[in-house]
Amino acid sequence: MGFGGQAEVAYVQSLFRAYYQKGYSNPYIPPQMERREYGYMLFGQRTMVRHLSLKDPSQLLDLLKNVAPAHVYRSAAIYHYPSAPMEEKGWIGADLIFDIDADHLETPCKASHDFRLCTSCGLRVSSDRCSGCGSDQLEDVKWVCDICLEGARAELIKLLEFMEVDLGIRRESMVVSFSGNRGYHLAVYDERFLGLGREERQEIVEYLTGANMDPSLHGLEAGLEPGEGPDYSDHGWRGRIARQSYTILSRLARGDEKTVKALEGLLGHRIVQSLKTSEDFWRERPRWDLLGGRAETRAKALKALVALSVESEKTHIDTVVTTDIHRLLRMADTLNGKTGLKASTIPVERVEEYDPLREAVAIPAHPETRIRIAYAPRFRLGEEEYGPYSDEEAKLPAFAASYLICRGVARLAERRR
Amino acid sequence: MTSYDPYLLETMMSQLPFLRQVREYVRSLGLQLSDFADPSMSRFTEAAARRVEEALIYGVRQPSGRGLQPSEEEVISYPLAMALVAMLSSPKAVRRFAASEAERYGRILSTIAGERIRDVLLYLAGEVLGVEAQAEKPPYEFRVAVPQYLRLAVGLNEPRWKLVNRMVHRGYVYVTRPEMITLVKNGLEHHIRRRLEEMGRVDVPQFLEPYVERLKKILEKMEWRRTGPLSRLGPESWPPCMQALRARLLAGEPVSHFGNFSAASFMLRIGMTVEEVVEMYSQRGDFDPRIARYQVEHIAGLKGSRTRYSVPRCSTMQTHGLCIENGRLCGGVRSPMEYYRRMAAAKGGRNIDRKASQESG
Ligand code: SF4
Ligand SMILES: [Zn+2]
Ligand SMILES: [Zn+2]
Repeated sequence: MGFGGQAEVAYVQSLFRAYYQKGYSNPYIPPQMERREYGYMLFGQRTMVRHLSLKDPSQLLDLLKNVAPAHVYRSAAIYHYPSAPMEEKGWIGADLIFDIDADHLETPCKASHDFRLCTSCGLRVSSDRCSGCGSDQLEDVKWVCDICLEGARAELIKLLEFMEVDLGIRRESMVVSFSGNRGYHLAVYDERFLGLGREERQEIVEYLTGANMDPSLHGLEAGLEPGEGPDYSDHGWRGRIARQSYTILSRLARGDEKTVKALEGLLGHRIVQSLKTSEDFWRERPRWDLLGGRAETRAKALKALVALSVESEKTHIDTVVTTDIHRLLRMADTLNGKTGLKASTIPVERVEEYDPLREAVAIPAHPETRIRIAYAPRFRLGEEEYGPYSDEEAKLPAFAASYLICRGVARLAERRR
Repeated sequence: MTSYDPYLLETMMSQLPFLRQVREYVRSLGLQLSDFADPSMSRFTEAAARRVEEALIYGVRQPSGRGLQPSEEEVISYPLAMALVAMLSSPKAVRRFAASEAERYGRILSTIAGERIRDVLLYLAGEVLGVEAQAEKPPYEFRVAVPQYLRLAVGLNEPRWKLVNRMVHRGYVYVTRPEMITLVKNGLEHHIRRRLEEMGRVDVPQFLEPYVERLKKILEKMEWRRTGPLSRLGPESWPPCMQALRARLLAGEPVSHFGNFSAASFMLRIGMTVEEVVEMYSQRGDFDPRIARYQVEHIAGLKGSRTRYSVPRCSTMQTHGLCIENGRLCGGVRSPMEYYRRMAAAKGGRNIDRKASQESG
């Protein structure tokens, strides 16, 4: 049912405007701000106003206060002429950017909280046709919960470790932010990486995701002798694979169900049984030579162990974002019109403890607003939990009311038609 | 900054004429382009022209035994050779010359023995290419800063150059000595190319006109050889990806749209006729000779936009999952055509080369 109508647009936009006008003063300012392209989207509109340039922070503040957009974007790139048409901008370089979205993760909660709404009558439906009005105009609504966000955080933490330990990027060069919805963003501004082109960025993406890895080039191949192959303290992927392989073997020794299942999927029951004792030999250092009895088994087991290790050590970034050197990304510290939450910057050392559903609530509780909710699974904002709601009215704090309206599952109750 | 052994520098200077010190030396001689018009200088002019000629003809397959001895001739003819290349105003000539020079330096570097090579490589990386590199403990003798590694390695197609297959730690990629030589060589190629591009157009003085004419002729002949029909080799000499596509087509197995496109453009490129190519598709269940012919003609540039489509590069083939074993069988080629050309060269291409050099010499 989209965004609702004029009244809802006016309601949410006034909340956004009030937020930007009252005491909002030091948003994140990207380095070389005057050389970037900016863009925004208004509530209830589908097209983006782009190719804007902003000279200084006060121009940005003016834009936010006066326009109160639903979404604000800035380019990862810096240009000679940021407001020129794309071909004439004169690309100089671009931040290295990363997008982690719970959407792309396989979280166990999705099935329980994603749902489908009829856009004509607002009924929750479970088939391809509305059981109420017979319409086939349905919309899949993706919800977000703490489990989703924990999943995204885990990926972010892996990403940050790759950045610091492998790529040697200093914390001062990294800007982490909550997306304001289901994930996190990382923008790296480091002179040395600025000028990298698409292909070089693709190499970085593949490194972070373990794509196109050839394990034999990391010394992981069949027929290793005792003491050969990657060790726990090795740098980069070698150490990662060695350590994670040990973790997998010890989980297996403990009979961890998920691990057994995953390995059996690759190796079959018999070989997995024979690996249950491997952990003992692996305490001092990896014994790639001691994975089951016969040579053939060992080769298979090694391959499976490496594959599972890479799968759990890699970071699930949205790969196309990083390689797009002209990308616009959400401006950190502005409000996200899909939720009304703030895409807050997060100091790197606070990533572990940051609570997006509390700390990104920027709209006040007042005024409490009565809304009509088509459907909403239970959700948390701030300290409180709300819902679930199904085809009912409720009086909620402004931040929760706008949250549901922005998500497109509620309208104002006292709506005069 | 590291200090460098003066003896070493001197040896390097005589062999690596692109070094700043060498340029300064040549400049200190006060030589102008017009000075080479003097008959007493003709041996330098000859040497320069020969240098360009060989680059154009042989590309990276250099005759051995030449260019390893340092000489005044080498040093002084180098800037003139650069000028000659610029006078050809042909991007192809620039690429070939840069590649061939770089290849030669690669060979020179491989001959420098023992511990010396480490200093030489670090000097070249740091002072000439502006690459942040440091010495390391074996088995990796060097580490190179990640962004600069990426710039140097991104054109190298073998899987081992991919970042994901490297040891990376605290902002550095660890490389062995032979790998460092390859990276430096690659960097020198870019470096020389960039310097040539910066020179832009250079007017041809009268005394050089015969040389430039001769070189232009050679260039034309070479271009014809590369764009003209290639001697056709049997499928056993095709790159693995194309062999696989061919086998699937003949077996009537499904092939993606992009796979069809790649195979057709390849077969056309190596000189198969439209009929022959169409025939390859006749095993498909949905084969319609009219449509197939139209499509093949389109790819051949006989229909539609009239652009002749080129064969996709290896990186694109990889993206579409058509590359076989990540290129391990292909010795680091960048496109299936390059593979094919190498095979063609290995099977008698040398004859062509010898003839070309005689005709022009
Ligand atoms: S490396 Fe290139 S030529 Fe070789 S199989 Fe892959 S795509 Fe084909
Ligand atoms: Zn309905
Ligand atoms: Zn969830």
